[in-house]
Amino acid sequence: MDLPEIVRPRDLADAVRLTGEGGKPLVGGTDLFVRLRKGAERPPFLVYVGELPELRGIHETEGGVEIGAAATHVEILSAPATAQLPILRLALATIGSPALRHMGTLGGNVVNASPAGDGLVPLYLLGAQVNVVGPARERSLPVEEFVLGPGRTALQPGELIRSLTIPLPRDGAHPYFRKVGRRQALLIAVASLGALVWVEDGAVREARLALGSVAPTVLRPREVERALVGRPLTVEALAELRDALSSAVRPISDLRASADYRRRVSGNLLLDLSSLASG
Amino acid sequence: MTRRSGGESDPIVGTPVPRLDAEAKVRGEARYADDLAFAGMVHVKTIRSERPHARIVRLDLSGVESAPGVVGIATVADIPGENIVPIIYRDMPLLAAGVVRYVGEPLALVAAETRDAAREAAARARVAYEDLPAVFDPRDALAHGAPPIARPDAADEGNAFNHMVIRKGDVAQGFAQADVIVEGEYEVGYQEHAYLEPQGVVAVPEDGGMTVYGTLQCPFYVQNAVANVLGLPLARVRIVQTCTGGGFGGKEDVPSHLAALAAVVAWKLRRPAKLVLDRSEDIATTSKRHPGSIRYRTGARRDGTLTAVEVEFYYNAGAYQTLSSAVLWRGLVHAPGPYRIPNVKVDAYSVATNTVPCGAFRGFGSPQVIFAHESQMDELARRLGMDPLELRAKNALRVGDETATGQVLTESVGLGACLAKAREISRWEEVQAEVAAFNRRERFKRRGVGVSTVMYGVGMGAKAPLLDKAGAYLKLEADGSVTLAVGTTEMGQGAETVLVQIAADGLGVPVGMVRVAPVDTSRVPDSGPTVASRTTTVQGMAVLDAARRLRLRIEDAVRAILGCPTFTVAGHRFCHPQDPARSVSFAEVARWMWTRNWDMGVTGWAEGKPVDWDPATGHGNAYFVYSYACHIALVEVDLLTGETRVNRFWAVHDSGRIVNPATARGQVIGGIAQGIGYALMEELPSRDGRILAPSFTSYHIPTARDVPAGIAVAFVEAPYSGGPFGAKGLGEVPLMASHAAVANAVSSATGGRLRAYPAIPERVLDLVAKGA
Amino acid sequence: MTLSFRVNGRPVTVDVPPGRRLLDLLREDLGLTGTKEGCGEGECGACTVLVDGKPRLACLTAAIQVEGRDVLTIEGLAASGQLHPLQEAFLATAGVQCGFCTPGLILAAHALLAENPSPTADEVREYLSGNLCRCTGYEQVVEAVLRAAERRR
Repeated sequence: MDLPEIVRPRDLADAVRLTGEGGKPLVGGTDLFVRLRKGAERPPFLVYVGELPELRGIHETEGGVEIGAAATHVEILSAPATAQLPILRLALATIGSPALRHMGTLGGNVVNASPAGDGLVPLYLLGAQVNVVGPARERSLPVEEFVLGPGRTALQPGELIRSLTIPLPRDGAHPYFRKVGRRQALLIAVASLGALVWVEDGAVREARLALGSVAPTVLRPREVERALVGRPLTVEALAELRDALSSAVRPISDLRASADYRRRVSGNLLLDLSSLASG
Repeated sequence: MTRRSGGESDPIVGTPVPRLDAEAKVRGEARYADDLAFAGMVHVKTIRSERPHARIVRLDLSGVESAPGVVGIATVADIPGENIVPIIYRDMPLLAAGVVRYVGEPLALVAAETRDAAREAAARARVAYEDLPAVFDPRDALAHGAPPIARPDAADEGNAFNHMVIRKGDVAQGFAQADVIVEGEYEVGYQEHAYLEPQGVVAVPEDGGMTVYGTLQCPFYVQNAVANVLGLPLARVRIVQTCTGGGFGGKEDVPSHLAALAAVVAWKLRRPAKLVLDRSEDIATTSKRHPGSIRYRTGARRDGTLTAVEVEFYYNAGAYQTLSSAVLWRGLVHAPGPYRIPNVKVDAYSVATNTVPCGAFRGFGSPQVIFAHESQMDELARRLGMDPLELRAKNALRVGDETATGQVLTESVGLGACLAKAREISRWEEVQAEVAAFNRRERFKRRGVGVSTVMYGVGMGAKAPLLDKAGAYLKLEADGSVTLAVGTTEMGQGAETVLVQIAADGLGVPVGMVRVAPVDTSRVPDSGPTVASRTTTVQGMAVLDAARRLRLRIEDAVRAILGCPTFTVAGHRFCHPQDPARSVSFAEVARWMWTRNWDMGVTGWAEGKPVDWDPATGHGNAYFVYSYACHIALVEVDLLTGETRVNRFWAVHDSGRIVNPATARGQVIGGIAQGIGYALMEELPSRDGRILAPSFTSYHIPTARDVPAGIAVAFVEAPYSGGPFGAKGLGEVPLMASHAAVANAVSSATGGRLRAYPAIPERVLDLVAKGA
Repeated sequence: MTLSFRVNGRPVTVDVPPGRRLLDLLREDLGLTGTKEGCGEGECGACTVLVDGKPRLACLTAAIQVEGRDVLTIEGLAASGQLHPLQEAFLATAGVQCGFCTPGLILAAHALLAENPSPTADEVREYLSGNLCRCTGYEQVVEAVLRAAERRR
């Protein structure tokens, strides 16, 4: 099955120009080619930006890590710079399969804006910025503002993602990531929970939670995050917030699970954070 | 019966001979259907119905014909023979004529220079439909006033394609004698074969006839269908099997339809025509395991002795009969399970609905009822406070017992041995204790152990005895090597290797001297289908028959050469008994035969032992022999999410003599993986007769991480006198047993009772809530 | 579009439509039919090939993405005729049944052993989790990879 015509830009400026002409940026192709095959998307041509040096690096910046939009999951997982971001590694390691992780990119995960995007969960937890280039200017916006809904982003015509900037969390965070589904690999999450929890003297000092597949976008239940502060990470203490978390999510029913199940599991997963107390 | 060797060297049957087809496969040299190309070949795409039940008002293909790259189209008017794909009945048209009865039913065909062009052209078809009332659920289809779907000449009554029964004893009396009665309703949905190689054929017009190459299980079925639609004598139609990337029943009847479609195009255009399905078309429009609604009632005395079982079940057959009557019959016979039960009443229905026709899938109508009867046994065990293995052992069929159909088992019943061996290798008591300790320790996880026992009727059985035959042709070459042609197929299960082992042992030559020719309907007599776990047993007997005949001829030659009425054998040489220095090699004997114009080719033949059946009562010798198995699964359930994981698995089988322990082990573990998928994850939702998400993205089969490591496989070999070297069938049995063990383990872990497949996390979480 | 890259160690230059998939380039233009199409959407792994030693799914790879790179298909593993130790191991453990997934499994395993010469059984299962097999239940496949790893040491 042939794909639309694919062009290779000379440099980033050329890529921006071609994107402005209606070309669809192509990096890993793991999602885009599937949508093209199904006819869900019919761009006039594709712009292969996967090898532009401007989109490729992974390096430390002041207080964070910058990841090029074309960096693959495997490159991110093995980059020394991401050793300080265990939550990112935990989440990316669950994506698809080894081959798909060699092909797919975090930039692609962000631009797809799927509520089930495993890579988005840590970006929400860490407060990542999305750095965008366009014909007129570069701009940078928080991932929570970049993702507008399922498959919808704040990208304007002619814009493409250049990189992601991820601030390092304060020391001492316990990372947690769990994805729920009916098999162990090649899985789109039915629900997922990522968390960063700081514990001091047996009680939660700060907690960040992000849930996937239970709302139109990845969701930060901030009221529950705040309510966790001061509590011990015991099953009993967490159970008191289970219903609050179940009510905070806004799931739909689809072929993979019912809204009711997603609501119940969201609340239940909170109890699993008790595993962090021993870890 | 013990093994019979050709009389020399080490026996080959019973040893793990490496697969003969594996080297070409690991090199990437094996040619599958889509790997074939012919000069002038066109690519065919089927234009399919978008409605579940409708009159076709207008079929406008003008846009299709004028699309870029299109070579031609074909419609009903282009079918030179009969517009029927004959399977068991003759109710299914090749191309819908006037009325469509399911979403995906073929309407017309387009051929183009490339696959992309054919696909794009097909999308330009404009069809005007007048919708007819449609039904999708068997209960609705049987209701009064339901729209007629089944053709009257292909149905017992209304939309009931078939209603079959077993009546034995008096169930009312049996239940009256019971101290405990359990009842349950069970629901199962589709299972998709998910063979890795999609369906595909290439039809090539040649010599005034048609040759079709394809990925298929049953070349003689395909030959019959192609001859029928082309209006040609069978002798003008030749079917050649390509390397087949998995079948599992999915390539039993479906290739007949696809080959006939491609053949009509090839006939009209006088060009080779390739028809290969992509995955979504394959999932959406080809056969699957029948969904079923099953009701059971089982009674037992306080000591566990079964007194009665009453079963009623409905299978959703889809819009045409295809194989449903045979599937239903196997379900019927297998419904009571491998137990001694004096009073049995079974009513089985297959029902026409406006859905894609279901068909053969490993187990062939038995896994659905096995889920139910093995659940019943566990429910009984729980009510009686009995060990579930012990309850099964108490009722397990033995030699001399009578089955539910009144068949007295005269030999080869290894079920009791399977149960004992399963208890031993699983360390049954210790595992139970370990699980109990785990469950006391863990807060959010529970483990459970589940058992299942099954019996399997080998071969076609009394419903289709005419098909239980096989031919084999053996040709001794002038250098002593041997060519073997058979009529049953290798689809991954290892048949080719097993048949060569049988030939080699029968002839007394090393495996390396025997080569199997590609399966080609023009080389061997109609050997029936490659189904029903019959290949080793029935085809194996035909091969052995040929080998023995050829061996006799070779021995005549040896006697003539040595000038002596007897001889001895040393290695691969035949020696004069008094003068060992006078000897002749196998190759020299072959050369000698060739130089004297001896006939060096022989045909072997075999058929299954006689069977009989009374459809009014369900009495008879349903199958000539049965295989047995006992599986045990240990499953862990996450109480927070309902996720499951199979941690350990033990499988014990009696399939008679095992010809190749390595390939047999592969059959068992592979069947277990399919059973894990059936029980835990495989689900194909549909709405109004439309498969909603026909892709591997939504249809999840087990990955390497979903099948437990270290599955223990053991064979207890109760030899069968009618099989080659004592062998019985194996292929389907592992799947049949495995899913029910997994389901019982899930129930045990949750404390609830699973009554519907698959046990996806959502369903399991509900069980946890109920069980708590 | 003219494209140059290496396949199984040999440089090739081909003229292909600008939207060609790597899978079609290999199978149809170069006749390397050992790479299989099982689903066409990255969910089965049958089309796994190695690009610069890393596993990629040829059905979700555009031809342009391998420009200047090194592609290894199953046909290149025993290019000299002698079976690769992985291929031998699949024969020895009966890790092959229908064989349609086998080329992809072997190439994925090849990438694994390059990254991790002594994997545990769990690591093998994890690395092969993108390669569906419907016949074997994977056990004898895992045994093959462990055997090949052992033989290389």
